[in-house]
Amino acid sequence: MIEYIKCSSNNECVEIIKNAVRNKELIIIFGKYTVDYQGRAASKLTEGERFVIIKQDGAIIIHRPTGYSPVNWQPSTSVIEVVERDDKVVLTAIRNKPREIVWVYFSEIYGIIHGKLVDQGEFIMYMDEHEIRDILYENPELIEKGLRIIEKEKPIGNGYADLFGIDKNNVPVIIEIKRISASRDAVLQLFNYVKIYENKTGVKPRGILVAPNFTSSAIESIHKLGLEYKEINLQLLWKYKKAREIKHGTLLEFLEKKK
Amino acid sequence: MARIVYPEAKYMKEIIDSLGKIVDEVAFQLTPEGLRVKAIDPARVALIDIYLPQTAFLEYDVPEEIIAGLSTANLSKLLKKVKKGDKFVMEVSEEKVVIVIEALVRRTYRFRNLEVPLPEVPEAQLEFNVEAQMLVDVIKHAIKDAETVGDLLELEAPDQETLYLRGRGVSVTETKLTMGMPALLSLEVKNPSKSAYQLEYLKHVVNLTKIAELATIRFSTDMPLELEFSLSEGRVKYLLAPAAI
Repeated sequence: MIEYIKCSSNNECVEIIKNAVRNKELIIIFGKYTVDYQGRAASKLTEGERFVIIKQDGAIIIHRPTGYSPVNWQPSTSVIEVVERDDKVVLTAIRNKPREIVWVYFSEIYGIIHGKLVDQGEFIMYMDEHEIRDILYENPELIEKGLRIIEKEKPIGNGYADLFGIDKNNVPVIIEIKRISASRDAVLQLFNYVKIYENKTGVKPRGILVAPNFTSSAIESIHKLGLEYKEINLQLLWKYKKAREIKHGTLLEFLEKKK
Repeated sequence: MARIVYPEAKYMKEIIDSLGKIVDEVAFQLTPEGLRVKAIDPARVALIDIYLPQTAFLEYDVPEEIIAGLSTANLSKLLKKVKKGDKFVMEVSEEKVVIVIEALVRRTYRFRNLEVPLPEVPEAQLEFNVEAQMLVDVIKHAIKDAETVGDLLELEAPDQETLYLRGRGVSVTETKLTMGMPALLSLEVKNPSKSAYQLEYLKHVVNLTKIAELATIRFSTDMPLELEFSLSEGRVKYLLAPAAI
């Protein structure tokens, strides 16, 4: 459960933060404060209105009201202390290795949000072009049944076609992959490979543009130039990516066992 | 205060490039006996252990142990353009680390001595069933070949005479070494063994093949791989956890 509290005194704020830290809760403190940092470098942030986030694992992030990146942070902390001193609430976050200390001096606390959050979701980050290429190289049926991939990064002219293969009728296939929406430029790039290959070998290959989606001008050009396109489902590819990931134990398992 | 002068900055470059692939910051441990660097990657899959005895240095003035904590990215940047024969000088005090590259000109870089913790790794000696010494080129080519087909390098010693280095993926590349081949200097097999290692991690040390002539590999079935590069004086050991397949 998440609670929002507007404490009536510094003493009350100290108790609320202390309890929340002890219970390993997520805490967001809004207020007016200064920040000192000492460790591998040193910094001083003069007074201003901003907020501090203390995460459930002890990570601390200090944000100003604008900009996406924090002004100070502590990736992990060994000790978080909160005390009242000289009419201020002082939060001290100590990281042992490397030794780094952040002090936050609140002259005023506007409000505190605290509580436990449960998050077991998976963070899905879509893949880069090389990962997509490697998955399609190993699973060409995702492009077309009966397709056999012979080469990746095949040099053609001054460029490299992502994949090169042979279809079920033994016709050469040049495949160009785009990670995001494929534009007309991608079509022209593929067409260039097709033409160079045809001029060099005398055999007309098929050209397939593979992407999660296509701009309308890309589709129009594909039809005009006698090429083909195949839409790929990135979420499906993600599953393939997870399946091919190599699992590792850690060295410590082996070294500690031995010890 | 300590001061060391290494005769070949280019060697230092390759070592630091490898270190930079597994850690962002590194602690150079200067002891009266020699320079030691140990670094383990954040996933605890790979460990680099470097030892250069004081005899490997042109000058080695380290009266007592001192640690130089530096960013590997910064070091790599300044060593990017070193040429063969340039000297690498490191002067360390509690507060700062001064790196000097002595070439046609003298380039000096001053850094704050970072508090980089030494990695906490159990000092256990692993026992290996296979030990083979070979020319480094064999390893370099096996890694490069394996990259063309997949993500794993499989090592197999089926008997006392043979060692395979295989790239495994959609297809397979295979390097076969048998006793008597000039590239394989020695092979000792206590028990036939086979194990696979991720190329992504092996690639981190492939540039060390530029500064070593010989390498020793040690492994057992589904156990870590130890790859030791012998320098003219000193050595670099790379310990890598096996891939679970």
